Amino acid sequence: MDLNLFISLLVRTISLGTPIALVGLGEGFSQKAGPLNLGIIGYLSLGAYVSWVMAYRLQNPWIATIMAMLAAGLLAAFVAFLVVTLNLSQIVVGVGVAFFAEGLVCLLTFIAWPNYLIPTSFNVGVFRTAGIPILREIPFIGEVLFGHHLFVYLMVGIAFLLHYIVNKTKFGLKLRAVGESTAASDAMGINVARIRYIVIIVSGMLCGLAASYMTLVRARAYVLGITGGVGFLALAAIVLGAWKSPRIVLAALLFGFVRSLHFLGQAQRWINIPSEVWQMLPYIVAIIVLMISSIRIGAEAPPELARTYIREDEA
Amino acid sequence: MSTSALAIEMRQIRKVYGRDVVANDGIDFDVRFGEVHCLLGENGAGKSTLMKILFGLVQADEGEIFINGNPVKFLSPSDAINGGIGMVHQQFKLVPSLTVLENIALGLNEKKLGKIESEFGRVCLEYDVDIDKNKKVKDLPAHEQQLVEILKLLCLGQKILIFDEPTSILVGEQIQQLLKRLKEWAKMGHAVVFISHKMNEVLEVGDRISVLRNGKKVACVEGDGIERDKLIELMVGEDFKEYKRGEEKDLSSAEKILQVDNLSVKNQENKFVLEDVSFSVREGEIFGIAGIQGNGQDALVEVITGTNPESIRITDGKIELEGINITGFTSSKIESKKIDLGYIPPKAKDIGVATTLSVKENLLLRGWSQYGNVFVNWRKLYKRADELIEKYNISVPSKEANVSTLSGGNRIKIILARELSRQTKLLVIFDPCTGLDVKSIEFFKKNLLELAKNNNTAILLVSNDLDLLFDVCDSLGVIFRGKVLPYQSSDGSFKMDEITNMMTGGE
Amino acid sequence: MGRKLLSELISTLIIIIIVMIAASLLFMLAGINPIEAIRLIIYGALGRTRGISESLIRAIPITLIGLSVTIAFRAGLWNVGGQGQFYAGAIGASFIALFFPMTRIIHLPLLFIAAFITGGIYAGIAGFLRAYMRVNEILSTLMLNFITLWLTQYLATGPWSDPGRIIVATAFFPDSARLNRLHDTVRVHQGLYLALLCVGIVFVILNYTVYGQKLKVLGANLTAAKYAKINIKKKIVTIFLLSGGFAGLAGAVEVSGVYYCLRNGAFPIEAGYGFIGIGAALMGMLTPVGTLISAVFFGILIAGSSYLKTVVDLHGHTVNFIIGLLIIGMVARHLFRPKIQKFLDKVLFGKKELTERGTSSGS
Repeated sequence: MDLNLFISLLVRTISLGTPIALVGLGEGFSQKAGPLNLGIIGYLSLGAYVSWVMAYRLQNPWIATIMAMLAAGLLAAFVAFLVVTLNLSQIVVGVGVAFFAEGLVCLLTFIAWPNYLIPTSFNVGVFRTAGIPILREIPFIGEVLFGHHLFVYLMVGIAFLLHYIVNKTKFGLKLRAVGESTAASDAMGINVARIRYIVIIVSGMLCGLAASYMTLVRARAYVLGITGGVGFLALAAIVLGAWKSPRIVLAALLFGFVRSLHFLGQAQRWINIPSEVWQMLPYIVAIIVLMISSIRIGAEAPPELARTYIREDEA
Repeated sequence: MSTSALAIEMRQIRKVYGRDVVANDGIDFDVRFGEVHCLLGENGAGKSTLMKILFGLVQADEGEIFINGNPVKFLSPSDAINGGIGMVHQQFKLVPSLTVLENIALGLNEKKLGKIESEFGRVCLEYDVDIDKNKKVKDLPAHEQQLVEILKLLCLGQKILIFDEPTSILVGEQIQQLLKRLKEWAKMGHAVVFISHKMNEVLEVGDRISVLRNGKKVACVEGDGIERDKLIELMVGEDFKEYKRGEEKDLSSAEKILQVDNLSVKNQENKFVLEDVSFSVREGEIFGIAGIQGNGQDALVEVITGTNPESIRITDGKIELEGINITGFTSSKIESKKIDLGYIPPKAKDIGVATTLSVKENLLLRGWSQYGNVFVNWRKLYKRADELIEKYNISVPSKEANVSTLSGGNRIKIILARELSRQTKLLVIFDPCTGLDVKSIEFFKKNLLELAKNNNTAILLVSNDLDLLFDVCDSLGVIFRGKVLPYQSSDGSFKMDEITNMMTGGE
Repeated sequence: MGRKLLSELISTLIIIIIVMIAASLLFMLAGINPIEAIRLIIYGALGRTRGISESLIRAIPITLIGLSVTIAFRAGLWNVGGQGQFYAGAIGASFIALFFPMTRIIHLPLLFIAAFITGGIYAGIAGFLRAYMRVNEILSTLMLNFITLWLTQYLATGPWSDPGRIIVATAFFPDSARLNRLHDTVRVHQGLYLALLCVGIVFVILNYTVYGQKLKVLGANLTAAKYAKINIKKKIVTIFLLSGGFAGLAGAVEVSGVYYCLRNGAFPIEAGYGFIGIGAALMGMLTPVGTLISAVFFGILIAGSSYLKTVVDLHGHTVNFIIGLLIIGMVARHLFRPKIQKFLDKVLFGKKELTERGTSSGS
C-alpha cells in the first residue's frame, strides 16, 4: 500500500468516524444519566434535512448548522417530555420517534422540493474550506491531523468538555448518581427530571451537529436516508467506549476505520470481495465489539439505563 | 422542654389510596424542638404514609402542615429538604458506587467540593462521629451506611430529623448506640421523630409517643410513666396473646432431610462468603439461623435453593436434599431430579410473586409440575386456588386480578399459601416477616408450627428477627462472617444476650 | 374484564383519531387536501376487492412479525430485530425453494420450516448473546438487522441471481414453492391461513402451556423468575428462537406468496415490516388476537398510502410518520385508559366495584 493511499485511509477514518463520535458522545452522556434514546436515528434524519434546507435558503452553513441542532434538540425535548414527564417506555418511544422523524422528513423534503428535486451543493451554502492554515501543509501529519474541517476539532473539544463535566463537576456527580440510583437521587433532592431533560436535549443537539457535518461538510449533498447506520454504530461505540467520552471517540474512530475499508477495497481492486461484505462489516464488528465489551466491562453500564423512573406512591 | 417551639405541626391529615384504602384518617401530629417524638403503630397503621406526606413523597388529600409555625405545601422531597426536614429512610437513599464524601456532596447546595470536605470534617467533630470519607458506600456495613445517611442531613443543617424504623437493620449494641445518639441530638436542639413498632425502643427513647392504629391517631402520651401493656393495647387495640412454641420435640431419630457438609462458597470477587458450613435439618424440625444482614445468609439460601447460580461458586463441600446430592444445582435442575423444596424468599412481596400477573398465575409459580407438564390444567388450578384462598384467608377481588393490586400482606399470604401447601419435605424461609403486620406474623407462625408438627416438614428459617426465631425454632445456629455456629444454650432455653453476642462476633 | 377491554378499545380509538388529526395537519402543510388524502387511502385499501386484497397481503407479514414481537415482549425481551429475522427467513425459504425442487406437498412445508429455523437461529444469536454473555439484546438485534439486509442483496445480485431476468433477482420459484392466490383476480395468497394458524398457536402457547406461563413470569420479574425455578438462560434462548421463527415465516410468505423470488436489496415494501410489527403488537396489547386485528389496521394504512402514492408522488416512507405516532400513541394510551375505565364504571355500569383494597385496610 502506498503512502497516499494510507493517508487517505486515515483521513477517511476520521471523517467517517466524526459523526459517529458526535452522536456517541451525546448519547453516551445521556445514558450516563439513564435515558436510552433510540430516537437518535430520527434526530439525525431531521438534522440532516434542516441543515440542507437552511443552507439552501440562507446560504450560510453556520446558521444552518445551528438550526439543525435546534431542530434536533426540539425533537429530543419532545422525546424527553414523553419519557421523563409521561414516563413512557424509552425503547418504544425511541422506535416510534425514529419512524415518525423518518416519515416527517420525507414529507418535509417533499414540501421543500416537490418531486424530490433536491438542490445540489452548487446551489446550497455548504462548508467549502477545511483544515488549519499552514499546519495542513506539513506533509503526512498535516494532511492526517490538520486537514479536517473545524467540526472534527470541535468534536474532540466536546469529548473533553463532556468528560470534564461528568467527572469533575457537581452537575456530573448528580448525573452519575441519577444513572446509578434514581430513587436515591430523587430522595436526596436532586431534580431527576431536569437532569434527564438536559441530557436528552444535549444528545439531540449533538445529533443535529453530526447530521450537519454529514451533509454540509462530508457529503456536500443531501438525499433521504443519508444518515443511515450512524446512529446504530454510535450505540455500539458507547458500549465499546464504556460510557467514557474519550474512549467513545476512539471507538467511533474504529467504526470510521471499518467503514473506510470499503474505499480501500475499491482502491486496491479487491474485486473478489463483494461490496455488500464491506457494507455489513461495520455491523459484524459492532456485534463482536458488544461481545468483547460485555465480557470485559459489562458491569460498567449505568444501572438505570433505559429504565423509567416512577416515584413510588404506595403506602 | 414542653414549652419549646413547635417544629412540625400536621393537622387533620387524610390520605386515601386508590378508591377507598384510608391510609391516614384525620391525623394530628406535632413535634417540638428538643424532643424525641415516637410514632408507634403496627405495619400498615399509617406511619409511613404520614411521614411520606411530611416529606413530600406523597400528597395528602386533606389537611395542613406547618413547619416552624409557617404553613407549607411540599410537592416533592426537595421542597421538604429546603423546608429543613431530614429523613432517614428504611432503604438508604445512597448511591452505592460513590464515596461517602460524594454522597454527602450530592445532598448539599454548595458546589465547591473542597468546602464540602471541610464542612463534613466540622460536622463529624461536632457530633462525635468517625467515618472514612473516601470509602465507597457499598463497602460499608449497614450501620455505617445509616450513619452516612444521617451525616448527610446534619451537614445540610437540618433541624428536623425523621427516622423511619432505623433499628430494623441494627442489632444489640448498635441499637443502644443509635438510641443514645438520638437523645443527644434532641438535647442539642433538634426535633427528632422516631418511627417504630418495637415497644422497648419506643419506651426507652421517647419523650412523647403518638400511637397510630388503622390510619387513625389513637393517643399521644408522655414517654415517662407509660406502661408497656397499656401501649400494646393502644397499638393493637385488643387483648393479644403472643404465640409460644409447644413441648420439646425429640428429633434425634428423625430422618435428616437437608444435610450441609463442610460447604465453602466464594462470591464473584473471589472472597469467601461461606466457610466450612455444616448443619442438618431433620424431619419435623424447625432449624433457625440467626444473623445480621451481610454475613453470608444470602449465599447460604441461594446455594441451597439454587436461585442465583451466577453470583456464587462452591469451592468445597456438599449439600444433600432427601439423600440426593444437589451441590451446585440450579433450581430447575433440582426440579429435574424429581425432588422439590419450598422457598419463601426475602422481600417476598416483591420477588416471591410476579406482580403483573394474575393471582391464579402466581399460584402456579414454582408448582409447575403439579398442574401439567406441557399444558396447564387450569381447572385443577382453579379448584386449588379456591381452597387456598379460603384456607389462608386471602382477600382478592378475583383469581384473575393482577397481584399488583393487592396489599403487601395479601401478597405474602399468596406466597405462604403456595409454598406451604406444596407439601415439600423441606421448606426454606428467609426473612419472612418484613412488611407483615402483627396478626399476619402470628398467622404465619401458627402455620409454620402446624406444618412441622402435622406434615413432618423440615424447615430452615433464616432471619435476623430473634423474636420470631425464639418463638418457633427447635434449634438455632448463628451465622457470622460466613461461618455457621451451632447455638448451645447454657440452660436449654434461648438467651437473647448470648445469641446477640454471637451474631456480633463475641464469644 | 369486559370493561377493561372496552376501555382499551375506546382509548385506542381516541389515539387513532388524534394521530389522524395530526396527520391531516401535516398533509395540509404539504399542500395536500387531507380529506382527499384520507379518501384516497380508504379507497385504495378498502375500495375494491383488489384494495382489500392489497391490505391483507401487508397484514400477513405484519401479523407474523407482530406475533414474534408479542412473544419476545411478553417475556421482557426487547427483540427489535424483526427486520433482520424477516430477511433471514426469506433467505432460508429461497434456499429451499430454489435448490431443492420436489413435490409441492413436501416442498412448501419444508420451505416454511426452513424459514422458521433460519429466522429463529438468527434471533437465537441475540438470545445466546443476551443469556450467556450479557449483551444487550436491543443493540445486538439492531445490528443484526443490517447484516441479513446486505446478505440478501449479495445473494440476489451475486451467487443466486438469474442473469436471464430483467430485474436483479433470483430465478422465479418453481410452482411447487409458491403459495397459491386465493382467487385469480387478486394477489392475496394462502399465507393468510398460515398467519391465522400462527395466531392460534401463539394464543395457545401464551395461555394454555406451562412454557407460556414461565415466559410471562420471566417478563414480569427477573428475580421472581429465578425464584420460580425457571432456567433463565435456556428460556431466553428458546424464546428468541421462537420469536425469530415467526419473523422468519413473515419473510417466507413474502418470497413464496408475493414475489416468487428473492429480490435485489430491500424488498419493495413501503416501510420496514420489522418495526411495524412492533406497532401492531403494542396496539394489540401484546395479545395474539389483538395483534392480528392491529396488523389488518396497519395493512390498510400501508396499502392505502401506497395507493395515495400513485396519485401524489410522495416518497414511500412518508407513511412512517403516521406509524411512528401510532406506536407512541399506543404506549401513551396507558396514561388515560384507567380514567376511561373509571368513567365507564360510573356511566355504563353505575356501580363502584370494591377492589381488594377496599375490603382490607391495605398496608
